[in-house]
Amino acid sequence: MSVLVKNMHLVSELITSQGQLMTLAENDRESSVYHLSEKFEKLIRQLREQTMEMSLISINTLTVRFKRMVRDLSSSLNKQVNLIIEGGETELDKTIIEHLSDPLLHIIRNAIDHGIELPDERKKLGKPEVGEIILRAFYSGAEVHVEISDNGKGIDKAQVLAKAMERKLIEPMEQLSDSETLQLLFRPGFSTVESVTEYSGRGVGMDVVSRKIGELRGDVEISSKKGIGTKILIKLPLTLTILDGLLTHVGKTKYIIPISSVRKIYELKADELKAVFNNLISLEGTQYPFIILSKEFDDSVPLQEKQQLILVEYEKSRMGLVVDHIVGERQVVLKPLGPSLRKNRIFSGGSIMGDGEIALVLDTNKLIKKFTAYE
Amino acid sequence: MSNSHLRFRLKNECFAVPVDQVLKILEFGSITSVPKAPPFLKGVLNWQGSLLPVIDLNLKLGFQETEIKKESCILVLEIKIGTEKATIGCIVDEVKSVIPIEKEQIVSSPSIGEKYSSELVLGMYLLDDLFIILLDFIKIFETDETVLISNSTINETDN
Repeated sequence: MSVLVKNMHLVSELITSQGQLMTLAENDRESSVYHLSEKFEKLIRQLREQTMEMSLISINTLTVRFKRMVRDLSSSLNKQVNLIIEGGETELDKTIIEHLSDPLLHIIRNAIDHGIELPDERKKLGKPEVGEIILRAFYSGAEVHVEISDNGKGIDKAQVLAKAMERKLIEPMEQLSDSETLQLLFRPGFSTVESVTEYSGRGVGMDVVSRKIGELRGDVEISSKKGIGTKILIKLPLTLTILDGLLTHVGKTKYIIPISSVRKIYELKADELKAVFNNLISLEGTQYPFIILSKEFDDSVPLQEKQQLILVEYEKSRMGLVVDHIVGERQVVLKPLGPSLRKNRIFSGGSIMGDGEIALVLDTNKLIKKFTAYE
Repeated sequence: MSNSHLRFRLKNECFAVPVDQVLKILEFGSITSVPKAPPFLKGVLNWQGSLLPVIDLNLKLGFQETEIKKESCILVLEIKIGTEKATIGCIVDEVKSVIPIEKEQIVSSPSIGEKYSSELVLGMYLLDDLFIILLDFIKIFETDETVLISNSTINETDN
């Protein structure tokens, strides 16, 4: 274990212990222990921020490898490619950077091998002979986005569909939208190029990239225009281990909602929720979709009279999460749910609270995407 | 490797697991259930500051759900899957004694009959007219699905 990882681990332990202290001290808010506990909380928060800053490294540390690979691969394929890095100073957690290297290499390799055309072909098409791959990294809310775009030939959607049919990934007459078609590239066992070259198409495809990014709790999106180019967008959470969250109760279970996604909180009566039509609720003149967590997760508990609606946001989409009770803000240490729950896309993990109980941490980004997608 | 095995009961069949794989035996306690998880996954519990996933071994093997009684307990197993070490809690009906089982005494399962899917059973051991089944936990936990140990359901009569 590196010094940094050990340090982070100690900070996590401190936060958990602080949680225990807070649980004990909360019984008497006038006591000096309570005030001391609050002071500790602030100090630990500062320590945590410092430690996290130390564990961040910039994307630039990877780009030397990328540049070398682009040079070697393009010359052996007789292509001319220029790699442009933008936002290389963007920082990410060290563990994320380490696991990001291979997927990014794979995407760039794909762009050179399958995307960028040969110089003659590009000239005929009226494109500059030198192809361009742009790697752009930037912060977006509580996420870091890494975008890799090329100005090559783009993805032939008809070819993708034909191949998917051949591989029996879709039904013969199935109608798919453009984005659904491109999603097929992430399915296991998919590869559009007939000939397997030395560089790409070795059986590891975009499905591996997507899985690797998923393990980092991130997302991959792909868009492409024929003749113009392909763009792949990777979205990653800023940190994996510690977060600020809102501790809530739903039935008998505790849930944590990351503060970074919370926009507003409303108190509602259960009747108001029952009366709504179409699962849309009107708040301050705007309609929002919402889910009642107790209904969604555990139907055995009747809806309490007063409910709290937490308005959460992700990429301009907003939705309401209805919980029974909000306890307050907590710093929590995120722990993995274990291998058998890795596929669970609603929770990013769990956290042990001061009283030893477990609270599940909701992955609001995934939840919002899931619930607002089919509108 | 030691030849000691821990005997435990599921319904009215006897099973055994090498003691090396058993980290602890816990009394059945409160488990935080995880919504939208597969049914055999009963939830997670706080185990030494980490989250321990707990599965109902009966359900995982395709039997009826475990009825929680006072003998029910949770076996904490450490299983090596590939290069990863996974720690998993398994709800079983009852834990019995530790017995020594020599490798030579283990008979391969197909000779016993068709009742058990031989893929998941490492072998069987005969102890006083009683068959003890040795499960291959690595194979069982490699898949996220319910695995079927037998094609005929075990009847729940005498105990």
